This record gives sequence, structure tokens and C-alpha cells, in this order.
Amino acid sequence: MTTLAEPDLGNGRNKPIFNNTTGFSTLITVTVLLLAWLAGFASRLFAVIRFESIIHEFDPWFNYRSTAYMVQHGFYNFLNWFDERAWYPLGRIVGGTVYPGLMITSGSIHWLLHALNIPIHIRDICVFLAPVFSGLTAISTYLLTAELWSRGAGLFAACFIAIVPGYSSRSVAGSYDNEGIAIFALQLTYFLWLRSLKTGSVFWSICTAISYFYMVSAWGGYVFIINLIPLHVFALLIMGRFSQRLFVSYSVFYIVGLLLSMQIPFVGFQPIRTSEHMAASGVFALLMAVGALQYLHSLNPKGQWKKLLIVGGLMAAGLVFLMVVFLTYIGVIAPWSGRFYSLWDTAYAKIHIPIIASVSEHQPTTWSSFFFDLHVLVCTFPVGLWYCVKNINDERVFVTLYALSAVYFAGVMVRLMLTLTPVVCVLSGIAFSILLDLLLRDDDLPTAPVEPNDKNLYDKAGKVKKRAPEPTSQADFGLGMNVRSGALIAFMILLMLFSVHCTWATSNAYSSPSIVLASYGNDGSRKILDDFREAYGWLSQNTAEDARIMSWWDYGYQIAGMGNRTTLVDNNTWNNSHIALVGKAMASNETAAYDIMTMLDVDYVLVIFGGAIGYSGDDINKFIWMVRIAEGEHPKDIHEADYFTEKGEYRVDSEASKTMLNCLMYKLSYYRYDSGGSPPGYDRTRGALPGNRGFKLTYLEEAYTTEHWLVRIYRLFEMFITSVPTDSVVYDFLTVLAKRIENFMMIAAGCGSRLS
Amino acid sequence: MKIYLIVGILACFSAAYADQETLVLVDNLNIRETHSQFFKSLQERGYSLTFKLADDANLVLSKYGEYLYKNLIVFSPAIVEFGGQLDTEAITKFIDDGGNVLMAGNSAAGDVYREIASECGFEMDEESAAVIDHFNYDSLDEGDHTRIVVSPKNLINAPTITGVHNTQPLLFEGTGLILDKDNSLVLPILTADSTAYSYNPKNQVKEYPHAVGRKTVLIAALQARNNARIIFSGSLFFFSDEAFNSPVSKVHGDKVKASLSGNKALAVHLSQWAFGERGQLRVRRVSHHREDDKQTTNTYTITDSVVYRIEIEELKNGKWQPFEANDVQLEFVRIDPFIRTTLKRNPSGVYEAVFKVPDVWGVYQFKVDYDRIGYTRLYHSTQVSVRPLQHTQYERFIPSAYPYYVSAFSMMIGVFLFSFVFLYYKDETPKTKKKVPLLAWKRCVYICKLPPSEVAVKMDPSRRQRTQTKASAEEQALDQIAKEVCYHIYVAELLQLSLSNKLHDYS
Amino acid sequence: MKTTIKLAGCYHHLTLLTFVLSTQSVLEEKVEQLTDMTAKQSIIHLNLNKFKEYVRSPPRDYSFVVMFTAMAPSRRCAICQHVYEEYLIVANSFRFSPAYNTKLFFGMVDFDEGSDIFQMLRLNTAPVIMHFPAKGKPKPADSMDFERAGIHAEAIIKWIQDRTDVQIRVFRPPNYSGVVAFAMLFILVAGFLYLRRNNLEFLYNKQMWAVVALLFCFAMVSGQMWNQIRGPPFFHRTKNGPVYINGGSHGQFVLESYIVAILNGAVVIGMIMMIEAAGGVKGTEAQRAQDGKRRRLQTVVGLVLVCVFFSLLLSVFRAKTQGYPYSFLFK
Repeated sequence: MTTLAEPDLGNGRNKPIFNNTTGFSTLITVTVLLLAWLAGFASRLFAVIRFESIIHEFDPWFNYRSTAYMVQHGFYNFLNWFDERAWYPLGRIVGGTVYPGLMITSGSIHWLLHALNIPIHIRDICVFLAPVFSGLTAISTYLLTAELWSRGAGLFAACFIAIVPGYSSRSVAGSYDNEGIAIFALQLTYFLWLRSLKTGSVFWSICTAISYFYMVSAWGGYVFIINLIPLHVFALLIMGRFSQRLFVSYSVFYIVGLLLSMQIPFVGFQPIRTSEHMAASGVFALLMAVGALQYLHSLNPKGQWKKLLIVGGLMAAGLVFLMVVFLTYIGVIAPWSGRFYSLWDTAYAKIHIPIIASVSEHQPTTWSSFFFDLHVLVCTFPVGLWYCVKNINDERVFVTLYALSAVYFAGVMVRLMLTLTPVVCVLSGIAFSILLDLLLRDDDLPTAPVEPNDKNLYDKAGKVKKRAPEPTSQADFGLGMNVRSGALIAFMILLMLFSVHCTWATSNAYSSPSIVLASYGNDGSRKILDDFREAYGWLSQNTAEDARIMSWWDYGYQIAGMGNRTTLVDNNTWNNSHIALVGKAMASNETAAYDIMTMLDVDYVLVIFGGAIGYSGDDINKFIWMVRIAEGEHPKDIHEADYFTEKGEYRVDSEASKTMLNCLMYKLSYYRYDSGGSPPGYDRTRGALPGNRGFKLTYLEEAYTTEHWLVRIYRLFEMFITSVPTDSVVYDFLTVLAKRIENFMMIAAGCGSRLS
Repeated sequence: MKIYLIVGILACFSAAYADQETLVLVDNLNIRETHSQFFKSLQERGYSLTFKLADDANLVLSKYGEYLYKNLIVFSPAIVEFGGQLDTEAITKFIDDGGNVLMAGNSAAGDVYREIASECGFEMDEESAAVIDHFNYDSLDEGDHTRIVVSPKNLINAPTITGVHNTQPLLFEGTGLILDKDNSLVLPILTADSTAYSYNPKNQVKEYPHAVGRKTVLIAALQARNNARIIFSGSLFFFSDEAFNSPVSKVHGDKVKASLSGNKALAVHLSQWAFGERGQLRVRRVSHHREDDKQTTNTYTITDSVVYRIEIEELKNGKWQPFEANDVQLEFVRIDPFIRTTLKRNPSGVYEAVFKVPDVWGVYQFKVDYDRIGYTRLYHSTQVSVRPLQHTQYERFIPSAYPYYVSAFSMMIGVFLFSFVFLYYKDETPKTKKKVPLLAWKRCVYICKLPPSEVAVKMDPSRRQRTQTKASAEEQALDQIAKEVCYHIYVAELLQLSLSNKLHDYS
Repeated sequence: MKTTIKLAGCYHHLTLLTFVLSTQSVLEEKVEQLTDMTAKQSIIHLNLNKFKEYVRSPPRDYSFVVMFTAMAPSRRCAICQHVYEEYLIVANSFRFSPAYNTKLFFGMVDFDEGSDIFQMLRLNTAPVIMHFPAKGKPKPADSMDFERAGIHAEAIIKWIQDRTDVQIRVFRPPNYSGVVAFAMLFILVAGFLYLRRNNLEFLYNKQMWAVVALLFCFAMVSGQMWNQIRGPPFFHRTKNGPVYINGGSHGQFVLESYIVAILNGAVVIGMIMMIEAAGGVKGTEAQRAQDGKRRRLQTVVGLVLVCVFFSLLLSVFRAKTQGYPYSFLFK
């Protein structure tokens, strides 16, 4: 270990100053890490500078709300918080259904600062939490990489992860979400795990377990850890790398980590009840068996124990596997939950759980988004992987498995790019450090073959060659100055490209709060569209305290957070049938919808309509998912096919299907709509003229529409005299039209091969 | 006592004189004479009637958003178009805003009537059609058999509306009404006999009449959800003095004879109901709380037992008095009613229910929805939230868990003792004890500089196997030493360090 | 004597009865025949008169689902085969399900056997699955729309449940091919290991493992998973020549992803070459002069590989991403 003190930056080897003192390298390390922290923090502030210190899109609003609640009412009240404003009329036990790590973290920071008489509002802490933690992530990545390869590589990795878009996408200022702190916990846990594996000391394993506990309290992604570490152990067993260190570190980590993780109310008994966690316990049992066999073997090494070791190990593995299968079969262990199952059977979600498939970040990943999030690292991290495999040891087995699994998951789901990014940074850091290390070594002393008694051979890359000076002419031996400098310049350019790309990506793609939209005129002038907050402000000012707002689930958290009103469904999609009910209301015609809404005591309906400004993320574009989810629960009443044209197109203009033109969502979006340029009433998002216009609403009245028509709020009113609703004339005309189109399509339609 | 009296009188006054402003629309002002008795009865009951011609050019119901009248009587069948700002929409709005309407038409009634009727869920037979009954017509009939005699048996069974004692036969002359089936709020007050039908008496029956037999409703009523009340009579004659004080004698069938028709009584009753003198209910007070503590709260915990109290009052001849009934029900609703129970009425006139909150958390509503024919719809809902148990409310120390507690604690004690023994067990071989640190040092040093052959091991798996075994042997040896010397902490540390280094190199 | 008369009377009576119930019996007969046929094979092959008799002509109390297809290889109808398989699955899983009843039958008409039926129904495409309800004529919704619903058995079942309230649980004959292949592979590997049991060092050949890992990484990073899930075209044909690169950043073609994988690979190879040239992590250094030359050459080649292919990658990315400002070497 001692030689680690030597810096890997450049070629410190020949300059005596680096040999005898560790101070210089430590100074460099600290400086670089600080700079990385600063850079990471600064590059995440675009949103704050452009707009204001505001919480971003959807989930962060809930996190912020509950954090504020905790700060206000104290931890235990937060733990027992029953939120009757969400999921009306079901309500939601917030304390039992969140990962409280985030709230606790920012809450304790708030408490600390106030204890130091620094009066800072909790919102600002929430806004700036993620950027601050990005610095901590950089440090933990440095430690991890240093553990894996060398400190130089660690510094590279730290610099990479500080600014790489794949990570800053989830951690810009204002995106106050679990991932922001979870990645730090992830990296720290992995670092501590490797450290404990190396030293085999109980202390480090306990630290691993504690950091794992923090991860569990912070993010549902902890399942990645609790499957990856056992996988690592298993691989080590297969590779015959069993050792006392492995035994000690894993058994301690597993037991303590298990107990700690079960302390989180939301996790509860899952770790011993669900298949996602079974790998860990199975490996634990296997490890015990192998340990016992090893002990027997060690009693007399020359006996027949070797065969017994192998056979017994295999049998133990099989036994454990069968046990888990059996327990799952008899129902003691819950089978894979849909979200995890959809990672393996990639077509699963699309068929069975539309609510998962409907979320855009659950889509598979194209190569361009890989490149967008990682840029040069995409092409360099395989190099690091290559050398890790070539010079394998226990830790590098881990990082290899980490890379392979993470890259698979990232391929399946866009959002899991987040778990891939750190390992990519680590491996690229290794690659770059190897290369630059070699390039920066000057030629004046060509090397002799390796000295036999160099014991640090395989984990100290690059800088371990002790060379005997040779008097012979060296001109021809090394690479030569020109080549080196050329290569160096080229790679400096690459890194520079990387950094500018990161800045560009972070500022352009990931720094919009999506609450406040900005549009740029031809002259580059910026126009702020603040419709969302306008609407939510209206709600909070002009509606009754206990008014119930029906909207699609995307906006639940925002309505609760900014409008402070009761919502029916929100972004924590725990009750599919309730969501389906709302979807059904949106998808049915006005009369049917009215019944559903009165059943749910709805007072106001809120829809997002982007047609006037060409905002593509509006409800009409999401509508088909509402239909699908509703159809999943009410297959008799809702048929997805009814909302498409005969050609199977999804349209809103006069060729759209009658059901589409009469459903509530359509009416609420296009009611009285006459903006959007020429001709008035033109829908810019769909690029079409709505097919059903000038209609009247029977059961609702328009309550408020924001400046750019983005948010539209409607009020339900009761009918005193039940007069039969008289729909406007438009429909009769439309029915005729639809009929005609139908007939026409019947003739035209035809699939499969045309017969000769 | 006196005070009570005064209070009562005041209440009576306030109640009776509250909604007195009434607008009467007539075709011609001599309807005042022809229907004087009816109007007189109203005036006696304290209504101030404002007579206006229906086509008066400056008819207004409301001024500056305030309604000038609470009640509206329309006795103008001949009207084609209302004058002033009055039209069907205005009247519908008037009803929507809680105004009461009493309308009477006849066979000559025009389209305005039909519009209003259809708005209210009735359907008037077409123009110049009248209810004809060849079996029950009055002796004074002119031969069209349109002045029919209806027995009070055909009245709807709702004493609040029709009053209790209607024994006298009723005289009726006018068009029939048909009720909109899918409208749940309309009531057929008086229906014709099964022999009656509605058709134009002048020309002979060609197609099937719209209203036949009991389907033909003579007087219909509607109580809207906002408790606005509408009485719609097919015959204006019904309310006339002539009808009031003319004798009745049926020609055919059971020759019913009566010195006086029952019209007056019924008309008065109907007007009383229509203008809200009877059948008015209101909720005076609602309270709910846990059974154990008294003050009311908005959040309950699952399986609490809750007391719900509601006081209901009825307007009886001008006074609000406790309402007697035994069929008032309470529902505890979260989308669907989880609990439905009948409220018990205790002597003090308070309805009360005690029940256990279901074991399902959520936002619930206490709902009392008392909807009986003739009474105003009594609907009251209070929202409360039912929360799950707090982390301190769960049961601790379940008896069945004691074995586990015991095992856990015994395990702890055992481990403690074992480690104690393990740490402080002295082996009685003094010389090794001395040697141990040295030995340990030696081992460490030896390990730290292994021969290069070991280094090259990783190239060759077969050798690797051997070294592995060797390594494990060494580990065992070292463990032995460790066992001996583990009270020398620094040596142990050192061992660990060297151990890790060594194994590190093997990989 | 008497008895005979009585019997005769009875007999007469019976004939009357049967005569009265004849239409009834016709229906029963038809149903019986159909059940027999279904018992033989779960999809009834229909020709013109069968079609007329069972599907078109009353009395019927059962609804008939008929697939019109062209299975003959000469028709070159690729989709027909798939649809037929799925349809067969549906028919079987209905036939062998507990919910099996005589209210629903499955039939199929091949174009070459019953082209006149096609003309009768004015069908000019295949395959078509139509539903003939027990009463009335088929409505437009009674012919299934593959484009929208897809051709999977689940979709067909959903549609059938839509038309006739018959609930079928799809029972796929378990696809053993995958299992068998896996087992074969496993056996092969095991046997191989067993044969090579005395020298297993190839398992310790890091080169191999490293290559495998890298290939996996390239496959994932170049979005093969996206291809597998979304099934894009290999490349896009337009009037003016084929297009290999999808214009939008949200889509890609199969070929495109291969190109990207190759570019990535080239960059990686370049870097590895440079590292090895510069001595690699093992630190083997140049001994002889020409050795040094070779290394220099190798470094230069590697550098060129890295720069050129990375900038190619960058330019491809730039072409896909609107308003991306940066590029290297190439626009």
C-alpha cells in the first residue's frame, strides 16, 4: 500500500521530490478534487441562473412538499404522515411509502445550518442539494477508482463524473430527487465494499453496511447493490477466489445490511420476502457452505477434499437455488415485481403494465442518447474494461460485473443510464490514466525488464517500472518526443471536446425546470411562459380549501405542491385502478364522465393543452395512454381502437373517430379554442384543425384558462332540473361525416398481401 | 312560557311572512274574479300577490340580480309570448335559483307552456287536446265529456303535498300531461281514471292518443334538487271558483254525488306545498366525535368507534319543530358506503348513531341523504379522514413473540460469554507467548517478500491451484498464530495487513 | 291387437312431434356435425357449400369465426403462415379449455379451395379473420384489423371476446425449442469442459473473456437492445438512394447501430494499440531499435484510428442531433 503515496499524475518517478514525500501528491489530489467539486457545482446552476431558484418538474415537488412537512412537523409526524390531500378519497400514508433519506438529509442540513444561526429557507437547501452532492459523488468515485486501479485514474474519474451529462441530467440545481444523493451513496457503498474485501476487516464491512443503509433509505435502486455484490461474491467463488477476507466481509455486510435495510418502513420485510433480494441470501448460504468445506479441506490439504470441495460447492449451489424456487412456488417469497421483470423480459411492460410503459424514461436507449450522455467516454470505457479484465483481481472482477450489468440495464431503460454513468467514468478514468501515464513518461531512460521482486506488479499500472539507466543510444527506443506530444495534444483536444459537450448538454437539455417554459423569438429574445404557476396560483387563490382537482397523474404532485389542493391521482402511481378510473373519465363522453366525476366528488378538472404554443407534452398527446390504462381496467367500456381512425391513425382533425371527438379530454382541450394562429383554432402541436369545434359543454363550465391556453381549468356544476342534455348540431354533421369516412375506409382498407 | 309564546309567534310570523312576494301572470285581469277564492286563500296566508298581464311589456322577475318575487303563479294559458324580459329561459333560471312556480293551463295553452313543461320534465298534450272520459264526466258537462270527475283515490299518496283528508271528488277540465320517464324528480299528483284519454274533443280519434288511462297525468309536481317546487296543472279551471263551489255528480258508473267538490281543499294544499309552507326540512346541527372523548375532530383512526348526531327540523305551520321519523339513515362513504345504519331518534329529537370505523384508511364522508316524497331533499355530508395506526399505536410484546425474544437475548448473552472466554483464555505455554510477536513478525516479513516464482503463479492455473491450497494452509497457520496472539492488537493488525498484501499478489 | 294400434298411435304421434321439431333438429344436427369436425381438428376447413350450410344459412345459434387465407406457397403470403399459427393456437386453446361450448366454432377458408367464397364476400386481401354472429349479418367491426391489433393470439382472443362474449385463456404449447437449445448448449459446454478437464487454462484466457465483455459492451452501447425491442428497418429506402442514418435522435436503423458499433470498436482498438505501443500496463519496453520504430508506427496508427473514427462518430451524432454545435476533423 505504501507505494500508493506516489502520484500517478505524469511521471513523478524520476523526480526525487515525489519519491520521498507524499505531501505533494496529496496536495494535488485535494486540489483536483476541490476543482472537480466546484466545476460540478457550477455546471449545474444553469437553471437557477436562467430562471430562478425553483424546484423542477414533477417528483421533486412531492419531495419538496414532504421535506417542508418534515421540517415543520418533525420527523415522527412525518413518519406517521397520512396525506388526505393525495389520492382522494383513498389518501396516502406518506411516511410508509417514501424513501425518507432525501428528506432526512436536507432536513438535517437545514437543522444544522439553523443551529449555526444561518437562516436559510428549506427550499434553497432542496434546490442546491443535488449539485452539492455531485461533488461528494466525485470524491467517492475517486476513492472507488483509486481502490480499483490508481489514484491518477481516480482523479480522472472524479473529473469525469463531476460534469458528465448522464449524471448531471438528474442532479441539476432544482431537480430535487432521490437519484441526486443516491448515486453518491451507491459509489460510496461500492468503494467501502471493495475496501472491506481487500482488507477483510469487520470495520470496513460495517461501514459498507451503513452506507448501504443510507442508500436504501435514499433510493429504490438499492436493489442494484444488493444484487451486484452477491453476484460479485458468486463470481469470485466460481473463479476459485474464495478467501477468508471474502467470507468475513460479505457475511458481515449481508447480515448487518439486511437488518439495517429492514428498518426503512417502505422496505419493511421485502428483503426476506421478495425475489429481488433472494440472490443475496442465496449467495450468503452458499458462502457459508463453501466456507465450511474450505475449513474441512484445510484440515488436511492433501486428502480427497478437493473433489469434495467442488462437488459440495456445486451441490450447495443447486440446493440453495432449489430452495428459493420452492419458497417462491409456495408463495413465501413474492415473485419478481413487474418493474423488475420488465428489465429481463423487455416486452413484458408493453403488454401487461401500460402504466410503466407509458413513462418516457422507461423506454429503451438509442445509441445517440448513449453518446449524448457520455460522449467520448462511450468509446473509451471499453479500454478500461479491457485492461481490468486483462489484469484481473478481486476488485476488478467487481468493476467488470458492474460495467456489464449496468450497460445492459442502461440499454433497456433510459433512466438506468444513471447507474451506468459512474462505472463508465471509472473505467474511462482508468483508460485515460494508463495512456497519459505512458505518454507523459519521457524517454530518457528506457527500461530494463521488470525486476522479479516487484510485488506491486498488477495493481499499480504504469508507474511501477524500476529502470536501470542504460548508457546505450536511446533515440530509437521509446516513442519519441513528436509522437508523444502529438498524441497528447490529440487527447487533450478530445477531453476539451468532452468538457464543452458536457456543458452544452447540461445547459441545453437538462436545465429546464419544465414548470417555467422559455421560448426564443427570431431575434433571440427570450419569452417566459409561466402558465403552470399561473394556473396553480389561481387554484390556490380562488378555489375552496378542500376542492378536489381531477387531472392526469403527471400533474398531481404539482397541484398538491403549488396549488395546495386535493388531487385524485399523482405521480406515485401505486393504485392502477384509481388512475384507470380517472383515465376512463377523461376518455368517456361528457355524460358518462360526469357520473364518474360526481362519484369521485370532483370539483374541478385540469387539463394541459399545448395546441396554442406548440407544447408537445400536453394531455392530448398523452391521451392514448389514458385510454390504454383505462382499457386495462374497464375493457367493456373503453376500447383503444375507437380512438383511432379507420386507418389506425391518431388524429384530432375532422377525420378523427367520433369517440375521440366526443370524449371529455378532447372537449376540455378544444373548448372555445380560437387561438393558435391562422386559421383561428389551429392546433400547432398536432398541426391540424380540430375536427369538433364550437360545441357547448353540458356538465362543466370553464373556470380559468391561462395566458397561452396551456392550462385549462373547468368547474363541474350541478344540474337542478334534470333536463336531457342537448348536444349541439355539430355532432349530427360529424356522425354523417364519420359514417361516410367509415364506408370509404372499409373499401380502401386491407392488410396482408394483395392477392394476384 | 310567555317568552316561548312570543318566540313562537315571532317565528311563525318570520316564517309565514318570509317568502310572501308572489307574482301572478294572467291573461286578463278578470281571472282575479273567476279564481278569487284561490287567491284569497293565498292572501289570507300572507302572500302579497302582484297581478300582471302575461304580455305586459315590462315584466321582470329580478332586478340588479335580486329576485323581486319568491313565487310565481302562471294562470295565462292563452299567452303566446311573454312580455318584457320574461321567457322560458328566465323562468328556468328562476327555478334554478330556487323560485317556486305554480302553473295552470288548459287545452288552449300555447307553446310557451309546452317549453316550460318540457324543461321541467313534463309533456303537455298538443294544442286543443283535452282529457276526455266518457265514463266519469260531470253532469254539467257540455257534451265533450271533458269536464271530468276524478276520485281522490287517484291522488298520489303523499299527505305532505295533498293534505290528509281528500274525500270529495275533484273536478277537472283541461289537457293531460305525460311524465318524462327518465326524470326521477317529477311526481304525478293527480292522474285520470283508466277510462280517460287525451285527445281533441272536436275531431274524431284517428291515431292513438298520446295519453291514455292512468298515464294521463292531470296535475304534476316537481321538486328540483335545490328544493324549488313546481306544480303544473293541466287545467286552470281546476283552481277556479266555479270548480271550487260547484256540486259534483257523475253521470255513469257509481253515481258519485257531492254537494261540493274537493278542489278547494286540494288547491289550497297544493299551493301550501308549492310555496314551501309544508314539507320543509332542515338540518339544525351536526356533531360527531369519538366515543371516549367529547370534542369533535376531523381525523379518526381506523377501528375507532364514532358517535354521530344530527338534529333535523321541520317547518310546521310556521314554526321549526323537531322532525319525527324512524327511517333516517346515515352512510359512511368512501366512494362506496362502507357503513349504512339507521339513525336512532332519542327523546330530545336528536338522531344518533354509534358505529365502528372500518379498518380501511382514507377520506370518508358522513352522509345523511333523506329524500322522501313531499319533503325537501335533506342532504348533509361531512368529510373526515380516517388514518392508519401511528407507529406508536401498534401492539408491542405480542405473547406469541416471546420465544423469539428469549432466543435473541440468550444468543446475545451466549456470544458475549463466548467472546469473553475466547479473548481471555490463557494457554499455559509461556514460551510460545513470548515468541509469538517475533514469529508473527517473521511471517509477515516472509510473506511480504515472496519469491518471484509465486509472482509468476498467476500465469499457470495448475500451479495456481497448488498455491491456492498452499495459501490456505498458510492462512490456517496464521490463524493459529492469530488465535494465540490476538491480545497483541498491533500484531493482529500487522498480520491482517500482510495477509491482504500477500493474497493480493496472488491474484 | 289393441296394443299394436296403441303403438301405431304412439308412432304417429312421434312422427308429428318430430315433424314439428324438424327445424330444431336441423340445428341440433348441424351443431352435432360441427362438434364432430371440431373434435377431429379444431379448425374446420370450409369449402363453398360447407360455408353456405354452416356459416351462412339459418338456423344458427352459434357464432362462427372464419379465417380467409392463402396458404399455398405459390401465393407467397408470408404473413398468412404466422396468422395461421396464432389462429391455430386460439382454436386449440378454446377447444381444450373448460369453457369449450358449441356456441363458437372456428373455421378457415383457403383461397385456392374456396375462391368463390372470397368473391361472394368481396374479399381481395388475405389473411382476414371474420366473425359471423349467431344473428344478423357481420358488421365492419366483425372483421379483425391486424394492423391495429396485431396478429398475436392474445389480440385475436381479445377481439373474439369483444365480438362474442366468449372468454378464452390462451394456452400456448410451451415453446421447447429455446429450452432444448439451452440444454444442448449446456451439454456441449459441459462435455467440452469434461474432455478438456486435464488442461483448463483456456478458461483462464483473459484475452477471450475481455473480448467477450467488450463485444457485449459494444452491442449495448450501440443500441442493439433498442433494435430488439422496437424492431426498426435495416435501413431506409428512398427514391434517391438508401438512407443508412436515421435523421432523428429518437430513432435508428439496424445498419446504423452496426456502423456505430464498428466506430466505437475502432476507437477502442486505436487506444489499445497506443497503450500497448507505449509499453502497456505490464511495462514491457523496447529492446531493439526497429522495435522502437514499430512502436512509433503503431502509436501513430492508433492515434489516427482514435481521432478519425471518433470524429466520424461525432459527425454522425451531429447529423442526428439538431443544433449540435461541435465537431472534430469532419463536419
